[in-house]
Amino acid sequence: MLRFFEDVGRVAALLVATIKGLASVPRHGREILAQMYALGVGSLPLVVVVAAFTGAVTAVQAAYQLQGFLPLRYVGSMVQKFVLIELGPVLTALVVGGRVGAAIAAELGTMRVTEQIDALETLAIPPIPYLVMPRIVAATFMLPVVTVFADLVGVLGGLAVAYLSYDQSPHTYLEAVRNTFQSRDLYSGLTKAAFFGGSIGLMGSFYGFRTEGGAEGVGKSATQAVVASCVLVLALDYVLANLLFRVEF
Amino acid sequence: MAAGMIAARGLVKRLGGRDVLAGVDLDVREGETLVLLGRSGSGKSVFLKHVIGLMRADAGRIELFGEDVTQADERTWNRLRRDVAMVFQAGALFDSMSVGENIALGLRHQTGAPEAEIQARVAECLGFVGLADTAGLKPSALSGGMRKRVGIARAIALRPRLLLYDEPTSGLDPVTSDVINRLVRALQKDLGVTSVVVTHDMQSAYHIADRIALLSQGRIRFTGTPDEVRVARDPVLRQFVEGTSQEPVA
Repeated sequence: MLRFFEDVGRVAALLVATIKGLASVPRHGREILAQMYALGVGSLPLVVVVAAFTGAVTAVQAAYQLQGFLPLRYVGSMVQKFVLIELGPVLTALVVGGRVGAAIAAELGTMRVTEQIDALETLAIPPIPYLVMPRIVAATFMLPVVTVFADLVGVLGGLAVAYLSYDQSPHTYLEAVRNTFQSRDLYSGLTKAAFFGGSIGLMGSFYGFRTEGGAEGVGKSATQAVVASCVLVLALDYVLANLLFRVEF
Repeated sequence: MAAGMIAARGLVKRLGGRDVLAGVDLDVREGETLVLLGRSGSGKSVFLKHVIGLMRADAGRIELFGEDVTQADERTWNRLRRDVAMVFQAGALFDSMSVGENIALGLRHQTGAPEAEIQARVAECLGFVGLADTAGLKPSALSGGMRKRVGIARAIALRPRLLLYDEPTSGLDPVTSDVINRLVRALQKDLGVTSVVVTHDMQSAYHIADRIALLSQGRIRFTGTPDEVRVARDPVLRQFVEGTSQEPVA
């Protein structure tokens, strides 16, 4: 238990150091762009596949729940709400958390055990602004971008199922999507995604930085980063859901 | 305290419940090459990390260029690290960058010099270590000896006054070891760099050292010139020099 609180303190210290490092964003622009490409564009294929099936399954479940209560033309509304508010941001974060969290932890962990991080320090290059800040900034900006694609593909996945399995015309489905669309749903989902992205970058960096030993240590750090990212995403989801959907602004 | 590049007094570092450094007293004079000998795990690399601020002492005091750095903050270290550089055991090259970018990195961050000037300095450093045509290669394409030489090139790019070498010849064949030894000597002779070299390699120690120190049980047990080492009667030093595993291992 004591160790857990120690880790919480260390994560908070890393976050504060990263925020201080934001002053050097212009200096590390190239690194941030490279990370945005790797974390965001690199994750797109996997996210698109997951989102397509998520939308499809949501359409099937929505149709099942509507049967006997409401006309099936509301399938589009339900898919749109579920995907934009919850499934798009959360499933994207879990998928990206697995892929990116592990990649960051493994990369930084390898740099730690091969003394590359020590070498950076000896060159008077502070490692947190140089290594951690670009990854956290990139993940924070790119997860909402990737989530937009996930939302779009998820809604289209639902459309495919509505059309192929329930003989619903695309026009009917899209009308239902449009009629119940609220921009707040989209913005809230994307706000959540930004927080999820930041937490994935933070966890990957934290576990990568404290890697010890050789290959075994790197593997352990990658696993810990994924587990911590996923737990943090789910916990943040609950907190943010209360803030974004229960508090009137 | 004696003036010099490094002055350590009673330096203590506890790691894993053990005093790895248990009161190290050591002076390194300007312009000399001091070789620090000791068995594996005796704390040689830990001492180097204190000299360059990668570790903080639990007790004792350390001065660098006459300035007390025992509790120095990051800003102080970043200023001092323009004058002190370290060559890591396995090179510690940044594997996402080319050889040239590895050497240019410190120059870009520290000097703000024009790119043409940085590239000229990169070429100069690579030429000095005999690897002029490797700037575009990735570290993964280099042999162990080449990686160590690139590590040296990166370390000298900012023209430091003090160079710390962590096992520069470990894992190398005798011929490549000799190349590294000559390089260490050349840096001292041509550039006037003061060096601290951590090694197990007695051949290398005799070749490059002005003075040799033996670290044993967390303390400096012996300090002297290579000639003094050859005739010393200290049993622990003799055992290390002769490479025997009989008592008294310390």
